[in-house]
Amino acid sequence: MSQVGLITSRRTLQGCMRSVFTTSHHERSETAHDVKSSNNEEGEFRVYKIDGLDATHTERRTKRPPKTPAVPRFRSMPVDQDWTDVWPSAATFKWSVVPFPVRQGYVKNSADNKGVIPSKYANLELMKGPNFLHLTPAHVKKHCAALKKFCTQWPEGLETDERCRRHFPIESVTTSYVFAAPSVRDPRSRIATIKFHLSDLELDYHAKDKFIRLVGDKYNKGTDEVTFESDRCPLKSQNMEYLKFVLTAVYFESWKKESWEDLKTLDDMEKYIWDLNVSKKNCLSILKQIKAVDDVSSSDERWLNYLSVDVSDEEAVCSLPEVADYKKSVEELFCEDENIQTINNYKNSVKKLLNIQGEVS
Amino acid sequence: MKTFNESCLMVRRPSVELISYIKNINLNHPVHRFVLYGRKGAGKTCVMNHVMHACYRDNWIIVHVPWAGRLVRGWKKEITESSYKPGRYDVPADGAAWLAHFLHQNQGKLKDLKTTSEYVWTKREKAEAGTPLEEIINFGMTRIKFSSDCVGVVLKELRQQAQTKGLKVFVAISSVNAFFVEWDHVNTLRNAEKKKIEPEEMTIIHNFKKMLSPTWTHGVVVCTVSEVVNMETQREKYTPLYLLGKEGFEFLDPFVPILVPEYSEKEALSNIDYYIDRNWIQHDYGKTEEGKKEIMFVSNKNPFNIYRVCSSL
Repeated sequence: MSQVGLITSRRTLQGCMRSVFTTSHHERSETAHDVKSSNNEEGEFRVYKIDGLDATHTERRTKRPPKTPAVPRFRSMPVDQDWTDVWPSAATFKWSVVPFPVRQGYVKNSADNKGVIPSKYANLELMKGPNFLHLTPAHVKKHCAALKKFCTQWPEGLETDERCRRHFPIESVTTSYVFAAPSVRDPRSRIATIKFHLSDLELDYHAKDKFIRLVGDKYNKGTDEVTFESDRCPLKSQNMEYLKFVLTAVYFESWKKESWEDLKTLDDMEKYIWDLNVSKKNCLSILKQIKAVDDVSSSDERWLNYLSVDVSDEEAVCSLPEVADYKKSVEELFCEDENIQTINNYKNSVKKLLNIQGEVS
Repeated sequence: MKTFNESCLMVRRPSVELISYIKNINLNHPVHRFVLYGRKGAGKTCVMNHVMHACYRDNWIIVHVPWAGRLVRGWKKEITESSYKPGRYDVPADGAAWLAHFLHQNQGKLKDLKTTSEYVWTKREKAEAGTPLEEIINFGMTRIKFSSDCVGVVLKELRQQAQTKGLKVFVAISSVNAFFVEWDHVNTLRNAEKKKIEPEEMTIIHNFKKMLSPTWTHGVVVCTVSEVVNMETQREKYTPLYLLGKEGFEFLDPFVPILVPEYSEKEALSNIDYYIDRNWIQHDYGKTEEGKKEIMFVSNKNPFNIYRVCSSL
């Protein structure tokens, strides 16, 4: 007991000492504290509680429920929504927004993903490739509508592509590049291209042939188009000027005929010309022989009725319809593709030429 | 070859067409050339053989080169330089083989033929004018060194005497494009110095090519063109100009190209029925309607393919 009393007295002493140094405001609160503590404890003395002796009750926090992902957006999309609002600009594929089922990927065997190609959920393969979900017809329509106010009236008289080509025979292509970077220059923007149809140039047979030989692979035989491209000068305009110079130079060069061009042999010919080839010689010599036999033979009936002209006159023979037909079919065989049709034309013309008759199937 | 106890030919449209042409031509005119073309296995050679047989029965003299590809392939062949003209090359064994083939095909038709000029083989050996042609052939077969020249003599005499004696000469050359196209690097013929020999440097080919040119009369030339003798890079098409090349085309021009198509439905069916009739097709399924249809489908009605498909049935 004396011990307890001692402690108590010491405490009061402490309280007194503290109150000496505090202000009046603090004095009041000190007294309130004392009253309160005496009320909580049983009787006059507080009970000393030894840690670990009594069972303690600590309230456990309940675990938060795990976060469930939000329902993907495509689940709540109305059918008649405006897709351009959902996907306004180019973006990586996002499975939760794209409302249609789509699968992509590779499964090695039936054990891999149960043999099923992965669906769109978290599908990296779909994200890798570019998509065009920002360029649907609805988008394009909106773009066009937005651009319309910048457009001018289409000029009259240029309704069709054919008319455009006639009035503007040269098509030039240059490209400007716009991007955000420290330098706005792009080396690709200096490239210039011009295109035109060879038939739009005024060329005779020789000049056209020479033009084609000079430009080489820049001439597309299928479309009759010539394409010049240049990136040799640093500026777009310089390249364009250079191309115009090239066009002029090639044009006038192809009209010139050099002396060495007469040395062209049969192998250098741009196409098969019957009059220069062995075929003509063969044909004429055979016709001569047949005519000679016909002249000698006793019967009145001639084998080749059409061959009434003088055989030594080559031009007259060549202008006969049978010979002309034969010439045409041989040239067709060489210049065009050799197929059953052209071969049959050749066959028929040879049969007519030599008057070979038989039961035609 | 008597697998079926008989030798049969199917009469097909191209052969009928060709025979009718040959019947109607004027033999006094320079020789007419006919070229058969078609897919591999379509029956070009068969058509040629059919026509050749028809002409054989009509007492024509047959000059037949069974497969010109044989002449141009260097399958370890002996090649000698020609004694007649340096720069030309002979293939003695092939020449002798051809002479034997020619003699066999024209038994009894060569009796009256005698040479018209003198041929000197060596200092000691020569054939006087008036030697029977058969003697020349026998000489070529025994002294095979001169076989290629003998071929030349026989062909030259035929060309000359066809007109004077009114013979009818039928020239049939299978795979004629072998004479004009470049040869395969591996299979080509090479001379003693291992130099590649060009087709026109071969005596025998030079002689056969003379038969193809329209410089003689009383004859007819029937050729086939096939992809097989061309190099492997030049087998894309089966058409005559492609296979012959420009040079070959101009050599034969003007010729009548005749397409040998693959079997029609009716032809294929009659071929299969013939196989069934001869017990060549023994499998029961092969004899049913469905089986026939399957054979036609699998072989695409190509005669050679039908034969191949049916050989295992």
